[in-house]
Amino acid sequence: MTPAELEAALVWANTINLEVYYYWCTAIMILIHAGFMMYEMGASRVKHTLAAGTKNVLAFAYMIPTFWMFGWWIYLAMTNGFVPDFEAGAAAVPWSDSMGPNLQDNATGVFWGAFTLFACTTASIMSGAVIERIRMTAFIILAVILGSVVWILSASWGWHYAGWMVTSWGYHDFGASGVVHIISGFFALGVLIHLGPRIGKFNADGSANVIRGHSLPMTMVGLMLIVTGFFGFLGGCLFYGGGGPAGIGQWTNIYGMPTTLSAICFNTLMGIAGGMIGAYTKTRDPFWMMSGALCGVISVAAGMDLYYPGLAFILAFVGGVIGPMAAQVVEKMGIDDAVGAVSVHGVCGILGLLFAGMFLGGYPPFSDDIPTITFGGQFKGMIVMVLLGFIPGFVFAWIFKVLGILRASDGVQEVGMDVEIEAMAYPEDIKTNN
Amino acid sequence: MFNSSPIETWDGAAAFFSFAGSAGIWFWITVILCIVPLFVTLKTENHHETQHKFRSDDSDSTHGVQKGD
Repeated sequence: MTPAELEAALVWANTINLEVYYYWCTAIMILIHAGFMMYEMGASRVKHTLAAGTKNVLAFAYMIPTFWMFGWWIYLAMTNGFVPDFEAGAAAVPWSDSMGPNLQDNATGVFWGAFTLFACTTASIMSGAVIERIRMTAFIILAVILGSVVWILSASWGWHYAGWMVTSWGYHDFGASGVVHIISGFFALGVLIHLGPRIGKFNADGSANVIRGHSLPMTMVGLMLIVTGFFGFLGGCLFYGGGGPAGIGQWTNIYGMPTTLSAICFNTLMGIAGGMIGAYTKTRDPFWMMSGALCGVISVAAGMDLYYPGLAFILAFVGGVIGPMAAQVVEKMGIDDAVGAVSVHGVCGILGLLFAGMFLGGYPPFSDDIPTITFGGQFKGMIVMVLLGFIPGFVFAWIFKVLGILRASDGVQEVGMDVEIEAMAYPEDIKTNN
Repeated sequence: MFNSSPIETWDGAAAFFSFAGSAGIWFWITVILCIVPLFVTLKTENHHETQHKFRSDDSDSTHGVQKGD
């Protein structure tokens, strides 16, 4: 074998490694969706169970073709803001040669697949907040707006080496604390304001009642599946490309800074553990202990490529404590967020961005076009993410409310949302007090 | 319809999916197949909304304590 042939073989092996890696990241990320489905079904009362599960599955199903139609194009074309760069997006239009089987392009399909599953995750985050009263059609359209438009627009701005937030402010969001979690948490808040609470959630004096789901064990298993899926999610935040020996095979973050899978393994696990312990210490509640895993990992996600593991644990612990506290504040505001999505994803996402700004100053950027990480840059990025998530959720939910298709009638809620999908989760009638 | 291959040889082939280069009609059918089910779903929802428009006890406000099944 000549040196040139050897080099070509190495490059080809690198290409195949990249393809295999993202293919399986995508498969593992589907566990997040399976987990959210179990989580939401368990958190629903018996009469709403299948509606919650069906809603979740249809969000997954709709996200895939819509992300193929326009989501991937938004990512490549919208890095400058709201004005598209048609040249940059040309390869992502759904009739392009790259958007289907192509022997000269081993990358587009697996990257598109991974980003599609990120989109599915955003929709799932909103999905839990609105269970037991949102109508299916409105939910599906809102999910598509969130997953195939809003999240990927935020990613184009802050999760792309050429995104304007990256090149202007040095915005650093390795594990998507902002671009996924703030976006979907605050989108959900915008929807919840118009959707209103479940029947019986609040008393006439404004005090809140606890509405328990029918299966906390199902919810806990679901959350453990989400935790497992996070390894695909956070692994998919790495890029496997040039820069290593012979110019191939070095892991980098999405901003081009070198990192390792080991770094992500350290801090994913420490984040999960810190969040669980923090939330359990705060609440002694199994539901919040498991949601604390999400609080923890989201609170460290933005900087987990760079944190010392002990620091990641501490920050995650803080996230695990603040998550349930924020949920109480949201409830006191008269917002019925059935699973705490606004606090777990929205508020802990804010923590994630700000923690990165506080603790990651001084790291050299990958290129001269990107400023270093600063608290000011992260803070401004956080404001953009909050607004970019909240405003579309609020506006589109208002439109659906005006059209009368957002919220199920009181009668349907009383009978159970399952009536609208003409199905019954437990036809042999299990004993229940709700 | 029955002659979908865009290539005549695998040597140097790039995009090899069916109808590569002229896939427009299939794209638009995909779009329609995503939109039509929404109307079907909406129709089913509206049917059940009409059927169960009111709660069994209308005197209970939406802010009342949750009743049993």
